[in-house]
Amino acid sequence: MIVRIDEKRFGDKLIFKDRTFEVPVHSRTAILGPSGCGKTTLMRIMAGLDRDYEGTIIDAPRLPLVLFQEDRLSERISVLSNLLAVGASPEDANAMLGSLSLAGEESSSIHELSGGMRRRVAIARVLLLDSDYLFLDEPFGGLDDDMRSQAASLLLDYARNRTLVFITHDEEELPLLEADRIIRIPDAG
Amino acid sequence: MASTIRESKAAAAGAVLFWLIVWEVASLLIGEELFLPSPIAVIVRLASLVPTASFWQSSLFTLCRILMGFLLSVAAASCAAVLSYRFRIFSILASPLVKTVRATPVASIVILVLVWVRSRNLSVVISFMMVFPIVYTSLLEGLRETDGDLLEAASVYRMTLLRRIRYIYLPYLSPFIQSAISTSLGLAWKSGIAAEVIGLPDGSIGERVYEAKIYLSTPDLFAWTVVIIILAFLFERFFLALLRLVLRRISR
Repeated sequence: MIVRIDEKRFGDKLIFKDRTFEVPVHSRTAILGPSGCGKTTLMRIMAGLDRDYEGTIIDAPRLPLVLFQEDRLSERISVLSNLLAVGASPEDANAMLGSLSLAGEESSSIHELSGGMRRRVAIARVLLLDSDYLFLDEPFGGLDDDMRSQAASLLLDYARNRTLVFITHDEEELPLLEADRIIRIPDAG
Repeated sequence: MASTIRESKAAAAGAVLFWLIVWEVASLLIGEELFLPSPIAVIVRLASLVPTASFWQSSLFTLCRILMGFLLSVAAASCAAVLSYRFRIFSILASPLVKTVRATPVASIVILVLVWVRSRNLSVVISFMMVFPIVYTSLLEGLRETDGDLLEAASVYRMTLLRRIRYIYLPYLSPFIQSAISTSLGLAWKSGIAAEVIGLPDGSIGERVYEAKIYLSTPDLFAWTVVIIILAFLFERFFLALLRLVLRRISR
């Protein structure tokens, strides 16, 4: 995938101008930069969620998967229902919850969970779906070291023979997902 | 928790008892059944009405029609709310109509509708028209408040429409649906009976209420009013319980 952004603005604020980014197939590409530099915007453009820019994408991913920075879980239904909602079978959903140390939380409401647990439910939901492209926006937000390793291992397993793009502001997270390419965005524009 | 529920039920029963006593005392002070019959006189009249076939026929007649108007209205208002949510032009077109129906006095609508339909079906049309704006407005508000981020995620995760309805829209709309049903069911009864009192369909509760007025039988008027209140209360409870059950099963 090659992303060429001639110009991207939010109102009067210029975010990107004349930038080209390349994401090879089956690579593990990290988008690295400080908060507010436009990492999420770039990921949304790459994933086809933001089309309000001037530029083109060559070999744009079809039906990419995105782990959003916000967990985007339905607060009013149970943990298990959040996974069933994307079409997972109860058996697969329960197994995935188990592998993220969430066994026993199936019938808990989302609002009863800690931030880290919610993040793991969001990760579980993504891992239950299939796509050639996986975009992760700050995937380990709210997770402690053990859980980061556990989640990273599952994500790496999933990313085998797939293209992985992940956003982070923390260089220490690069080895966790074995980044083989880094797109550095120093600041907006 | 259980003791709190018991306490609140006892408090509610106490409040009802208090007002029954106030009613009894007021009735004794006035001393004229025509102006204010005592609660005991009303209960006696009600007890004499209940075993008669005409009581059940009238109750069933009105019940079926108000219920039909209510259910048809909920279905139509739900469809209209979805169309308004989906298509802005529909929302713009529906807005003045809904506001007009909401602001127009029931009596004006009843008299106009009497020109169009037979009085037998008047309460169906009137309860339909009174319920529609409430359910439409409430559902549309709920749909518009559904989390946009969640809907974007649903699109990325390729959720089918049925799953979106089941796991996103219905849980979000649940409080709006409950509030709309609670408000509109009471209004369906009030407007439906008012329509019957004006249109006087044979064998309806409205006709019985009108007869009570003509024959100055205030205990009859009170007894039928008690019947209406009980029916409205039972149906509100029934629908809300049914709704909670359905929503719980769906979003489990």
